[in-house]
Amino acid sequence: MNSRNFELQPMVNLETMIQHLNLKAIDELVVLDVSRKNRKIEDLCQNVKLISKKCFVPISAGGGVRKIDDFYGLLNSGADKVVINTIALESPEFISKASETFGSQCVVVSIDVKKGKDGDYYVYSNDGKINTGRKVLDWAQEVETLGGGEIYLTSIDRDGVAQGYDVGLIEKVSKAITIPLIASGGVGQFSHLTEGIVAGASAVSLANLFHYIGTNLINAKLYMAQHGVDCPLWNF
Amino acid sequence: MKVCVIDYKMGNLGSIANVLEEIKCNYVISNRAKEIEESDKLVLPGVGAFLKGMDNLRKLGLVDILGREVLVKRKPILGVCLGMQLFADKGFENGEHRGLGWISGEVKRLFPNDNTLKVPHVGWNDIKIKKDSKLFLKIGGDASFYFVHSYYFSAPEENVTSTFEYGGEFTASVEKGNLFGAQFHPEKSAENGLTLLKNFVGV
Repeated sequence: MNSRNFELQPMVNLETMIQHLNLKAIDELVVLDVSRKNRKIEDLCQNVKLISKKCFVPISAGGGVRKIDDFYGLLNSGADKVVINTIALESPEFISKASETFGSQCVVVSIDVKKGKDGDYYVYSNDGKINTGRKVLDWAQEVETLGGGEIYLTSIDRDGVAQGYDVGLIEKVSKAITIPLIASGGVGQFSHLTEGIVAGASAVSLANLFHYIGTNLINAKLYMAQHGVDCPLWNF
Repeated sequence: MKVCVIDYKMGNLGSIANVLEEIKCNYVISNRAKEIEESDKLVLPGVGAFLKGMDNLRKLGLVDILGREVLVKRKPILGVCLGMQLFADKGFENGEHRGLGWISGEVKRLFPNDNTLKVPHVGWNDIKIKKDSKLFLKIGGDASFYFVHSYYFSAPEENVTSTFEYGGEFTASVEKGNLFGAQFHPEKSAENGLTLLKNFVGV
């Protein structure tokens, strides 16, 4: 799926994607089921199984995860980490339960935000549809306290518009937590990736720019390395 | 050539199996004596706690079977993460516990001398190759691999083939005759991991 401010557009099917995506140049893969209807964990598990046959880096999977059993299903299908969002907002103690059962390194909490009229960033739930009224800094800190291992932070405003990450947002949140922050939403050029790291993200994630073109990801990493970012380089 | 991935109920065997399939290596996942004996090489994976790992090996009768295959018949074995750590004399996770004692040394908690570095050590990190090893053929001297662990194997210098930096220098891989071990997860380390596993299988 292609996403622009969380409006979805189908692109290619998974099998084709697996063949074309340069799985050899990715550090970690995030697989999110963003289906708006009939979303089932069993389907996500099947897709993760398919992907894990060809993807030999850590896989984080999520989208509609609501129970500890969903964690077991995804981990047994080949995921290394599980991504949760709405369930964490509804029942924050679920973060602790998952962390205690599987280890915090297994629990990625995804936070979707939009800038409010007052300039503050507000957390949205349910595929970005509902403004929870919570401010991002408070929620991010609570997630860390509850045992979340990583935070996957997406700016809904920047999603899919290729104008770069919301650097101010990344700076604010990364300073407020000690667990890793993964930046998401807005990459259009290689320099955006470096900006994300400089702003304080531990990792940068991207989707649209690299869905199609094989060597783009390799060039992105070389660009980042040339600009002082310490990232794994394989025998390119 | 057949590899047996030892199933002692610790961790995701599927990931190792996926790589073995990808590199077109004949393999079986098992904890039964017959299949272990019929295999040419062994992989001991593992994610989880030291004591549970040893308990599971004991309960499945694997300490004796593996002892015979590895120490007497000298079958090549690759220990991954917890699998490698179990080769040690003892481990100090939640108390002091005996390991297999195949490579001397102890498994201790990581202690980065840098309070910005957290434990567990999770993510990509470079290794520094210290000794020639068949495992590192065609792999660069400061190659990246994926790590996720809270404990490390403090082994004798002559058995340490590579180290990683994390607020200190720690063992990344070990080797002693037919015994090979990796703290990182080659099955999660993209091209470098695939190459390392190909090297082990071809060894």
